Amino acid sequence: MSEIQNPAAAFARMKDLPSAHLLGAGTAMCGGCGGLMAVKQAYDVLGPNTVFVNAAGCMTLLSTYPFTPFRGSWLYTAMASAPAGAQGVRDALDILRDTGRMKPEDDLQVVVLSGDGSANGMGLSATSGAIDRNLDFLYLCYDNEGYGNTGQQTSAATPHGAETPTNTAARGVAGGKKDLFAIWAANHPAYVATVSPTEPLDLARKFAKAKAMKGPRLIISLAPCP
Amino acid sequence: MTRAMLTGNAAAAWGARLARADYVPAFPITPQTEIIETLSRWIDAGAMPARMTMMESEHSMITAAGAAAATGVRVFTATSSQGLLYGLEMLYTCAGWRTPFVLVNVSRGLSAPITLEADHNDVLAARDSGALQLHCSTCQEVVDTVLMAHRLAEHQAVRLPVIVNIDGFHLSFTREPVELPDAEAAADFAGPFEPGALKFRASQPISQAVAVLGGTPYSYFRYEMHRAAEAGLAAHDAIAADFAQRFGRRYEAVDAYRMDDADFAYVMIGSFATKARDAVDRLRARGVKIGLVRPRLLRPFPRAAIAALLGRVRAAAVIDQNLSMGAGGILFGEVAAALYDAPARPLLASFVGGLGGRDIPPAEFDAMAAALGEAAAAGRAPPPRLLFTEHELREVRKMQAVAKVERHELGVAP
Repeated sequence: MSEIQNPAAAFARMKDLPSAHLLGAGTAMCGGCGGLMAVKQAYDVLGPNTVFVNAAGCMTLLSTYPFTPFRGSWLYTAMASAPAGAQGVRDALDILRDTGRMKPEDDLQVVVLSGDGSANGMGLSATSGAIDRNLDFLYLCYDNEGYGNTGQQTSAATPHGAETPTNTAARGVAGGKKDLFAIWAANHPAYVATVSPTEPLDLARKFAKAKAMKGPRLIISLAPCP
Repeated sequence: MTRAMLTGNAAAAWGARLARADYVPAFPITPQTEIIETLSRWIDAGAMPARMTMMESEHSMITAAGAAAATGVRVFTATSSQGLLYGLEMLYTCAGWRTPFVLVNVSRGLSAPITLEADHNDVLAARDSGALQLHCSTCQEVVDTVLMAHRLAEHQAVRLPVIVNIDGFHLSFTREPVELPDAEAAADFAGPFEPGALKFRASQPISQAVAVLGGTPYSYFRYEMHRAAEAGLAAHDAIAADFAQRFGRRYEAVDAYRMDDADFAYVMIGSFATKARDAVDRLRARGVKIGLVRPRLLRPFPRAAIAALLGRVRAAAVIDQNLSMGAGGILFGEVAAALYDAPARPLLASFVGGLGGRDIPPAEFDAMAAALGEAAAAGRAPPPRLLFTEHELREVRKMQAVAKVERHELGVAP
């Protein structure tokens, strides 16, 4: 792949990283929030022509009336159906574009934003459906390995043996962390990747690569709570 | 204008086609399936310029419906019973988003026990969702109502989802002659979808469906929804008047049949109201001055129209095809509340019948009319009644006996 065709090649060095800071400050997230760091870095690569479709979680409080930190667009859905919300938005944008009711430059990149709780649990059926339908969307899962918004209770992404407010006995969580990456990969989506905001170059390259693709794309960011 | 023999389901599909719905998120459920199969056939054949997406659940289906409407297209969808309940979280949510779309609910009794035939506990579970509700009793009404419902949902003073209810089997699978509005005239009536400020465009970024903290903004937005739903009353009447002028069929928020000089009235919604209408004609031939009050609009609730119609009668029977466990018929409670501060009130009798498609035969309508006569003579309303015959009880006892024998055969019975 040549330099021009490879969108990830735009990020060779740390100084190539965008300094746009598209995501506004002053949100309700905790200081040092790992998920927020991932969203912030990803947003600068994705750009403002993005509509985030959010599932219930910490990030739901990013847009709290009358404020929003987004230069682009946002739709909060519910815990179980953010990918279905992405489907409705994508289908409607396609209809509007194809019938000439919307200028092509008004089109948006549709991005599901959810935590591990929704991504591995309640939202998995809607995710599976979206992959089946080859929906053109990007899924950003910030994984803090528990139901962080409610106090880090055990989710399907909590590792084996972890002590959580709902697993307080000595042996901790009996199950193991669900392999969401493998579940996606087994269904042959356009792209699956893992990132960490502590590796911003790698994160930027992967989002740039995913942005240039069509179809279902998953990026999981390990995003520990402070 | 064409005439066709259509099932209630086909009539619902025609309503969406004539309204030029852009988008149909779908999920099959008996007895709704024929609606989405019909639409799919038209879309695939190029007869209907729309897109259908098969979702993996009704929860996702309603999410996609609201999200697409929030992006700026005209949306039609349909479900029934368990599907409506599975998607109910999103019906409340999409109403809160103030997204206009039309959802046809093909009524079917709720589990448990799981069953297939109609009653209204499914659609009444959506009563407080913020979605408006229109209830149909004939196939003609289904086509016309679905077409009008798109305009009602999209009305600038309303901007809420609208549920059009049709009874499973009795209406969904019954063929009736239907006059189909001319396609161009219907499109002209429906007009283009006007998203207003509610749309996603790169050049007009917007955050929709954002959180609020605290009761003050929450109350404000919930009150706004309530006021929008109430505005649906005037909007409905204006849209129905325009429809009547263009197509010659007039629909009121409350359909009144032979009520002008009535002493008594049946109050019913849905397809079984045609049975009440038949009973009215039969009893009128015998000299009983009875009429039928059939609310088509259930949300917003047309209190004033109901109170005005029933204020003239001596006694009325509210026949509920639903049951709120521990309270009784839901429509009865609503009608009673509408009458409480009316200057003239009839004696009000509550009857629950037709659950899970159970028939309400002519003899029962006669018995209910007789009960109204007795109530008027005694000056006291009778206690609520659950319609069930001795013959039916005998049938259930037989089933229980069979079940007991079968369990005994398996060695599990005591």
